[in-house]
Formats: sequence, C-alpha cells, structure tokens
Amino acid sequence: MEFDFFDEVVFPVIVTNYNGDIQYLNNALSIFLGRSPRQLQKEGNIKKIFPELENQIESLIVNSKEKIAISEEFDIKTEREVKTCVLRCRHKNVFIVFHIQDLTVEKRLYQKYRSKMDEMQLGHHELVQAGKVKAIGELAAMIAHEINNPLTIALGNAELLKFALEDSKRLSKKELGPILDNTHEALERMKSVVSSMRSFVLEKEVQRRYVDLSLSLKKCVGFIQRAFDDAGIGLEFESQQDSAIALVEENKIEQVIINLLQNSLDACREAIKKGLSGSKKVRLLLSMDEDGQEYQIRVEDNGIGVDTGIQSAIFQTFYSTKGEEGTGLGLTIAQKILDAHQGTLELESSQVNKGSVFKVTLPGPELASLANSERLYETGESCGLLVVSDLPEIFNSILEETKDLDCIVIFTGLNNINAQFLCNYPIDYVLVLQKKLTPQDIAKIKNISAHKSVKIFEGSDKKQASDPEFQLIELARDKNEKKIIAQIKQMIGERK
Amino acid sequence: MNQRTQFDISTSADELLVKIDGVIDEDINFTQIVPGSSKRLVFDFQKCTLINSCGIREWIQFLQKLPKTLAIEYVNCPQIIIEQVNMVKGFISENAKVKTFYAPYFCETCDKEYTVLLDASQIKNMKAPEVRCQADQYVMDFDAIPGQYFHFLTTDK
Repeated sequence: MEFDFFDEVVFPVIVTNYNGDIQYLNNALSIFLGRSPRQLQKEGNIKKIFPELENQIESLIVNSKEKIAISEEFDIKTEREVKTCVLRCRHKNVFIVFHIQDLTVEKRLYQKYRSKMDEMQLGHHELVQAGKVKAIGELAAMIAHEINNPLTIALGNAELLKFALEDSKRLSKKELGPILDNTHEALERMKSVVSSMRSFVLEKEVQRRYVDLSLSLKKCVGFIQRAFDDAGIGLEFESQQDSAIALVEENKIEQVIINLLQNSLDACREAIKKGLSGSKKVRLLLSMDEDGQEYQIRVEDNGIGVDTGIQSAIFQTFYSTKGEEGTGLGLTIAQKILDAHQGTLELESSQVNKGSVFKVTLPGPELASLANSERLYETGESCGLLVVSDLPEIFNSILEETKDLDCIVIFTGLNNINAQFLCNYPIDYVLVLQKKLTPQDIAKIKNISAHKSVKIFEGSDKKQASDPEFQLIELARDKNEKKIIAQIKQMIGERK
Repeated sequence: MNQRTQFDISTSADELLVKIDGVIDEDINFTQIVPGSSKRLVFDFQKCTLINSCGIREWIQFLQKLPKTLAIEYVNCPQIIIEQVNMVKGFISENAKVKTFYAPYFCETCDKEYTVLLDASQIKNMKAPEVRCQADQYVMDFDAIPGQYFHFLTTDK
C-alpha cells in the first residue's frame, strides 16, 4: 500500500478519494479517536467519521486543489475526552490526504495560563487596594484635622446667623454677606477634602488632564502640612518653574508625592528618636531638566537615610523598613503609577543618618502630548498643531475637542519651547494663547516659525501680535474656547 | 499532587507498589513516590483514566530520576497507556517492563467489544493470543493492528 509510511507517523491521517471514501487510515487515528481500525474502516467515508464536518469536508476537498485547506477549529467527543482540533487537507495525485492537528493540550494549557494570569492580576489589584486602604487609615487623622478647622468656622458662623435671625438688629445685611461667604468657603474645603479621599480610595477610570504640577504639589504640601507641624519637622516647597504643565492623572501623582513626603516624615521622626542632632526638615523641589523635556520632582530630607545594602530592595513589593507599620507597597505602587505616566522614580542619593533624596520624573507637555497622539503619528498623514500656552484649562479643552480629529496636537508652555526638538515633528500650525508676551517670547515663537509654517498667532499685545511675519486671528482675546475650537476645526478642514 | 490523581502506595518486602488513580497530565506531582530501599517498583495503571502529552513528559522525567538499579514493572496497563508506550520513546525505561496489559478484542458472533487482560509472556511472534468470548465461547478477533499494538514488547521501545 503506497500510504504505509503513514503507519509510523504519530499524528492521525486519513486518505480518501475525491468523494471522501476511505482508502487508508493510520493507527494514530485509531488512538486519537479511541476507536478500533475495524470500526473506522467500517464507516467507509470520512464524512461518517466526522459527521459534524460534512459540509466543511466537501469545501476542504475543493479548496485543497490549490493549497493546503484547513478547517475551522472543532470539538470532537471521543470515548475518553472532548478534543479540540483542526482538519488539514491536501491533494496527492488522485487522493486526498487528511491530517488531524490536535489542539486539546495547547488550548487547555492556554486556558490555564489565562486563568492563572487573571488570578494573579486580581490578587495584585486586591493587594494594591489593601495598601491604599491602610494608607488612608494613616491619613485619616490628618484629614480629621483638615475637616475640623472649616467645621469650627462653619459652626461659629451658623451660631452668628442664628443670633441674627433671633434679633435682626444685631447684624446688618452688609455684615451677613461675608459670614455666608465664609461658611460657604469652609464647607467647600470640607467637600474638597472628602472628595480627595474618595478619589484616592476608589478606583476611577483613567482620566488624564493637563494640570499645573506646581499647584498639585502645593496641594500635597497643604494636605500633609499638619502632620509635619505636629512632629516639629519643617516642610518647604520650592518651584523653579513659573508654570509646570503636565499631562497626568492628578490624584495618582498626588498619591505618589504624599507617599514620598510621608516616608521622609517617618525618616525624620526616626532620626529624632535616634537623637540625631540638628533640626529636621523635608524639601519638595520642582524643576525641569536641561533639555526642557522632563519635570524633576525631588523630595529631600535629612532623616535617617537608607542603608546602601537595601537601596535597591526598598522598591521591591512587600519590602518595608517600617516593620509592621509598613505595607511594603508604597514605593511599588508609586513606581507603577509613574510607569503608566512614562515617568520614573529613583533614590537619587542617600547616606545613613544624613538623609535621602528621592527623584520623580514626569514628561513635559510636548512628550506627553506626542505619546498621546502616537496612533496618529504612525499614519504620517495627520495635521500637526502646536499649541503654546501656560493655561492648562485651554489645553484640556483643545484636547477634548480634537480627540476624534485626525490631528496631532502638541502642547507646550512658553517656558518649555524647544525649537530643536519640535522641528522633528510634523507641525502645520502654531497656535499661541498667552496672556502676556515678552519680546523674548516673540523671539522663541519666531524660532519655531523658522522650522515650521506658522499660520496663527495670538497675543494680547496687538502691536507685537501684528508682526508681519504672523497672521493674526482674533480668537483668544476673550478666552472664548468655543471660538478657538471652531477655528482649529476650520484649519484642519482647510488643510485636508 | 493535583486533585484529579491519587496514588495508593504500599510496601511489601523489597517491593513498592504504586496504584495510580486518575489522569496523568501536566499537573501531576510524583514527589511522594520515593522507592527508598525497595528493589522493585510496581506501577498499577488499572485506574488510570487518561494520559496526555504533557503527562508523558512528566512521566519520562520522573523515570529518569529513579535509580537505574531499580526493577520497574507496569501492570494492568489500559489501552491508553499501551498506545503511549508504543508511541513515545522513553515511556518505559531500560530497567522497566510491561508485565500485564489490556488488549482490545471483538466477538463477531455477539457483535461486542471486550478488553482482555493479557500477560506479556502470552505474546509470541507479535501475534495476539487466542481468546474466547465469555458469552458464547467463540474465538474473538484481535481488534487492533497486532504489529503496532505489541510493538512495546520488542527491544526497540
């Protein structure tokens, strides 16, 4: 028999004629199906062996004239188990050779792998949540302080209003206004504290927005200041940036910074416990790297420092220097958050009993917006718009309105403009939205125009704005965002 | 060990008897089978219901770790084990042999299939021994290809 060589093959083979009548089948087929060769031969036709594939087999035979034809994946119930497989078919002279590819083991291993991965991800998620819940417990005392002050103010004012209602002569209408404003402000502050706490604990859909990092860091300092005051440890914030716009999930970045400040606070407390001399203080510093592409946030303290031997271990999950007090998750979570922002976290320097410096980096607005437009950049056919402003709210509006447009939008602040860097990207239009423009600012924008075709310029100083090199379009003077957006859409439409 | 497989291990004189109940797959764990000072290791496959390619690999790796001086016997091997033994080199190590195994038979008279426990010594010249149907005492047909089914009895295994 000319197909006897298939006897030695370990995968199941059936040879038929054009009608599907069995001419030969090997022992591996018998083993695969758990049926004796006698039973299989008795079936006579391959369609009887695989009745569920009757239609597919016919088309496989037809298609196999040109190339190897492959069936869809199917399940077959054997005496021992349900197997998943595909049927491959090819012509050999006047015969059709069918070969079964058994996918049962691969499929089951894949399902097991997926299931284990899901379990691990769920476990990790639960651990992260548990870490956050513990952290919120530690912050609860501080939050109580935060709420207590405005609550006292609101209660005092409510008392005054009660008196005023009882005796209208006691307080004039003019005097009541500030009391109400003051109460409203106090209640707003409480709402803000509760809202921060909620967004810290609850998982929310990722929503990145342009924010002024400088303001975010100030919020962090305000949030934790009380704990530093109570411990008699100084806390300073210094920003070398007038404006530091970054595309971030704000509460996550605040979580990172608060975690680092809390660690520094603990390191300083330990130093005091050990009797190390000198007043203890923590410094939070915001700056930009030399290329103007990356923000650097440093948390410096003169606490007990991190021993050289454990400097790499502190970033490992569940490693804690705080004994039972620590979860060993803080820095791991911080790193994860920064990874998601294309940022980094490192221990820049540390000396035992002298202190540590942790450095966080985050991409500047140009890099962040380019990463955000990656999909469009790959196509190479999109319109490029550079938006220059120091107003994050303008960025957010434009980002929202242009997200579905075929337009790469790069955002930058006047302080960040780097013409050398930007000349590598396809910018068709430059849109400047700035309250005040200095001659230096004008020079910077001209520098971009040397590389790109600047179509739009807007500034509050009409004299500067009417520079003949720029085409002035009156749209941002009244900060009417709708007009700006409409103008951008028109520009993109014209280019197309 | 996975929940789908149980080992019933017993010792007598110099022999360690391991009865395998369940499936041999990627989750099997043989660590509880320790021959110790036993000179003979007997695997009883009577209740083995399934073996897959991952299980075969685990089995071969397990055999490789056993002392070469240990005499290994397979008894009550169902058809699925014999099929794997025939297909995969290394499933029976050099110091191992199949003593008893099940073989498929078919009675044409009563049109029924049977599995019959055979002793390896009954197989001569790769031919199936004559077995009579318990129901009607007619001689049954061997219901596989003898040359392939008894391949494991040749020295090249």
